[in-house]
Amino acid sequence: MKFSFTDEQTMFKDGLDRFLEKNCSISARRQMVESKEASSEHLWTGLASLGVLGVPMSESSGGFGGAGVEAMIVMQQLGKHLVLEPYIPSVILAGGLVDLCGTDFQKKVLIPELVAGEGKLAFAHTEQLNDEGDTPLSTTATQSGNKWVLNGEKKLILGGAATDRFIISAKTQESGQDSGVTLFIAESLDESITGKAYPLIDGSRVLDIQLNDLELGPESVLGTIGKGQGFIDCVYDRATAAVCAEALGVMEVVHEMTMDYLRTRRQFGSALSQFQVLQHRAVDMFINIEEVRSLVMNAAAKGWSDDPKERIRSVSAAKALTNRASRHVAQEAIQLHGGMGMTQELPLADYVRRLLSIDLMFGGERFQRQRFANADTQKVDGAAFVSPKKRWKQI
Amino acid sequence: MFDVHQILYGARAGSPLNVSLLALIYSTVECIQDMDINFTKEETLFSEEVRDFVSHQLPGDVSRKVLEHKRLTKDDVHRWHVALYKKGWIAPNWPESYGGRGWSAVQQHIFDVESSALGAPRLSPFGLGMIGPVLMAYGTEAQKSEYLPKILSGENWWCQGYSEPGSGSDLASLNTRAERKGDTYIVNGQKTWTTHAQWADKIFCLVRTSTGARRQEGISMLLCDMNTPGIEVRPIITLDGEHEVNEVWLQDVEIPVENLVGEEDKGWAIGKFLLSHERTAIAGVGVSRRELVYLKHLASVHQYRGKPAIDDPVFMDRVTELEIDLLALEMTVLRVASGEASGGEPGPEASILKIRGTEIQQRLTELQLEVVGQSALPHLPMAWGDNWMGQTPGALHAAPLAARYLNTRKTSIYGGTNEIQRNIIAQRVLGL
Repeated sequence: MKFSFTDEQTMFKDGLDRFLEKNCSISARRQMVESKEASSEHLWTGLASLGVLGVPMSESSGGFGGAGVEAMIVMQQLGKHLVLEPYIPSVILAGGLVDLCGTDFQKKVLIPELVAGEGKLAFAHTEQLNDEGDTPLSTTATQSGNKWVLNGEKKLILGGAATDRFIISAKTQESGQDSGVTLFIAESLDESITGKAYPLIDGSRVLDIQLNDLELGPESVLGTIGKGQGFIDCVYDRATAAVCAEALGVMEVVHEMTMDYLRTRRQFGSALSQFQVLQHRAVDMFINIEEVRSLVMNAAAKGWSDDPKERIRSVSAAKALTNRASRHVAQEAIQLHGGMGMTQELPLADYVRRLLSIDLMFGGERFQRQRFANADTQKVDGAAFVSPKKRWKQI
Repeated sequence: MFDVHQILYGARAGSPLNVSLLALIYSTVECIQDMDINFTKEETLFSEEVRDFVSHQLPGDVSRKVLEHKRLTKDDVHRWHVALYKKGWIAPNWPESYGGRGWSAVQQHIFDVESSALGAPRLSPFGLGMIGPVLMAYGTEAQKSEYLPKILSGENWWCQGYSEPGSGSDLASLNTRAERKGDTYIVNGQKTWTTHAQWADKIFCLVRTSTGARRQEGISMLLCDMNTPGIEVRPIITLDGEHEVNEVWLQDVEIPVENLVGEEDKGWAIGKFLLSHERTAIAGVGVSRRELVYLKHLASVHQYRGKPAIDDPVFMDRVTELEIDLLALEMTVLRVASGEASGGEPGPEASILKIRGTEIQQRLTELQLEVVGQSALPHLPMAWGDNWMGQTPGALHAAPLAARYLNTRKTSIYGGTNEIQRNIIAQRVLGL
């Protein structure tokens, strides 16, 4: 076993860190949050020029052939610098779907554009906020001639406010029978798509859309009709592993901020860092972060596996622990900052709000623990989980 | 004005309520009734009187805002204040000679629980709970007759000038200076975390009038009108995006010497007297009992993965754990309260109430968040303001919960951090 990065990976990490150090600041982020897209073209194309956007895409699609570990490296840095850009929705989720199941032509069009920072993608999948994607879809795609007509609503589309194209999941029917979930590609400019953007608690901007008889040609079908679910599960696991890595990066900064505050703030004639009770609190934060790091690495290594059991166990364990630890770390950071920890003025506020957001998305602690526990049966609480490997053979 | 049961059980017209919720809530109510066994007959009658009064006199829109976690305006709190004032219940713990009712601590607890359950907003504590009692104990006759009636009527809103940027937990290190020149003090310095200074007419400040051998010596308490030239209020936006607290800057503020409370340089004891007051109220039992009911309501109406959280034994185990902790807190409050009633002084063990009370408040916000999960992600502050008629991407009841979770983190920091409370117990109770 080896828990260290290769020289190449370390160089990549340091380069990204330097770039973000130079190009990100809390004040810039706060301005961006107020804008309509909550996104910066400058930053996105900068990430593209560093090759970051192509990291987890297969080389045959025009990417750099990375996987979980490389995605972890990227996400930890994006977390450290609290980058708002839609890396997970665009690259990991939607880009991942194109990479996994697109036709050669689709990949050739979409991936190089995405990698070059010239075309953002978003995955329009969630339909209600009170499940974990395990309720059957209500969005329908019906065939009319050689066209597909989509109707339905999609909610909480991460990165949706700034996207150029959507990957949309819909329930398809063949000869009156449900044939499963099919993925479609649609232009965000299409007039049959209407919607509203709104901010999340972390300042990112998401989108709810309605599809009103959205007509798509056969070339818009991504992958095989009715075979989308396995791929969706797959990219969601990758995204969940990624968001845990991001949380790790966020928590490391939060901890460092807290250490700095303890060292500088003086009460009762000495630095707060001299009080043993506060030292122990700082240590407990640190231990939590190290535990997360271990499971983030585990999820990075196994979360991209073809074996669903291995994938679920590693990813759900990471997310369950990340949620608990990030709550602990955020709460303690606020508490140890005293009144200052309650202010919006300190950058800590933005980091804490991102951690809260991560806690609430991609599955809560209870859900993830149940999913972990049920992984042995390969059945995730009602949602039949079929190995994507098996499905790939069917394509 | 509204139906008690509707509020307690949280059932709005048409909202689904399942049997297990009712069973749980009835068990809460039973627990109230079990408690009643220990109450005297008079106290039981008193509970009924309180319920009757609150359900008729608490404005319905205010109660709805409180129950649904919407933003309260000064006017919302003021209307409730006036209703209580007219009833003669505005300062029930004050001695009758000052316009109070001389309620026992148990009666105050009953009032807290009953009125909170029905959605009564928390009154501003700075006049009624802090400077009022201080003036009764230390104020001049002129101060008493000038300020106490206006605290009772709600004409004057007070705020508290204690903390400073460099003096939080270590309050005695404060260095806002007051120099005496003839009949006035010239005050310079900065106060911070001043809750609702933007609403206040008056401020009471701890200031340094001399530098003695001990830092606690040389501190004085001054009363000041917020319209005095040289006072500037600057908002502090908290991490939930709201404006509750402020910085209060004082530059060459002239305060007449008759606004000194007690003796010059002896303000530390007065300041501590103030902090030791209302110890049992800080536990927030009434609010937590209400939020527990609301948590169960949410857990029953909010579908998550096809079922409400109340059907998930794993989740309900944690709710039950919290409920038992809350029961323990409530019994501890009553123990402390009945100790006071039998003549004992509220001791430093009241710090237990602050620690556990605030922890429970925080856990309740976490569990409420957990019930709704990602429905709490959208951040639309207008949805918990006045006049919101729109939809929210998640359920409307989920909209304020993330901000409330963040806001409630303050409770373990304000009023003496929970770390300081533990120091108090360690030093003064355990003698360590």
